[in-house]
Amino acid sequence: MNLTIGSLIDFIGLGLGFLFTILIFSYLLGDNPFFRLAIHIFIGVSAAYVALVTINNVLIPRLIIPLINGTQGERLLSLLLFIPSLFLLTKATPLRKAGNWTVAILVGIGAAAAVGGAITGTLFPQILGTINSVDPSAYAISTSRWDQAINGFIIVLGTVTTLIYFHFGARETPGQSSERLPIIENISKIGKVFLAVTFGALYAGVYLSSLAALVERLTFIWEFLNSLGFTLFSSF
Amino acid sequence: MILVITDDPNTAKSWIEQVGTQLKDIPLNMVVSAQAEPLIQPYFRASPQLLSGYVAGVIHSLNYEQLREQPNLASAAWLPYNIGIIITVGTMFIGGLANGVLSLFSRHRARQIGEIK
Repeated sequence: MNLTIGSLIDFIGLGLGFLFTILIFSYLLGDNPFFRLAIHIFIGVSAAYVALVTINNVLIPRLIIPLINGTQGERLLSLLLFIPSLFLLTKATPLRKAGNWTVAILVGIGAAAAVGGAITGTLFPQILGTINSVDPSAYAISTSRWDQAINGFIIVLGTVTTLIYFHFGARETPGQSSERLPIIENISKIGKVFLAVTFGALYAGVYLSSLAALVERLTFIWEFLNSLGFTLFSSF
Repeated sequence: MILVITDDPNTAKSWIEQVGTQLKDIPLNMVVSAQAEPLIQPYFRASPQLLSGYVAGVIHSLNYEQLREQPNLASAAWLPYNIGIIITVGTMFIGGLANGVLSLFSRHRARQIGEIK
């Protein structure tokens, strides 16, 4: 049998893939040490990969190199970022309170970016999309206008009724339990149907993704066993 | 063109919200798993479009492979994938049917016990 180093490495990679797939599938028999071993290895490898990518693609080129070889401005900027980074490291020591202000800055910037992105990237475009769905002048020429009108009506109905479903304001009546207005209660029932359909679609999507992954793994096992059989057969 | 490949709906959403809004003439495209499709489709259908195009799950992948006339993983997975879906739907149908029949029997028995008492 003529094996080059490349094909040997490929074979070891495929063999490890096969082994770990079987270890993960062993969970079908219940929680066991083999499954836990595979999970620990996956988590360790993922964490190590993220750490290496961060060091190679962020810390070294964007912090260390500008600090050593950069211009005066770059060095100053890097130093301004380097000092909070050092304070962040104190979170793993008994002096953890010293790193609070760095965490506060990170959380603040993160929240601002998330809220800003959600408003400009989701909220406004979706409001515009909902408005445009019932605007005949915004309809595409390629498809039927009736189709688009019905689609727009369903979008608006779904949006409004779902939002009303989450309206929990109630009129307070002395001596009685607070209840929503009957009209709100009835409209929210339609919203509940839209929510159920949405969650059903999301669940179906998750299931289809898992099924695709399962099919891919089973195909891999089948092909690996076939290739193993072929190699063993040809070695005789 | 920017191409994002992810199986996480939140990652896809973050890319659209944080990067897609800053792009002027550069198209943002995605290759995502089926679970991310319901969440990213509104961005594709919105006007103005924040997402120029996407391929989601095995079904879109198969369409894309057929369009390119280059059969690959999706074409190979198509038959077992469909068998899996049929088994799932069949299991749900039979389970629902069995549940309905059993509940009918238990209701009937409860009524009989009530009459005897």
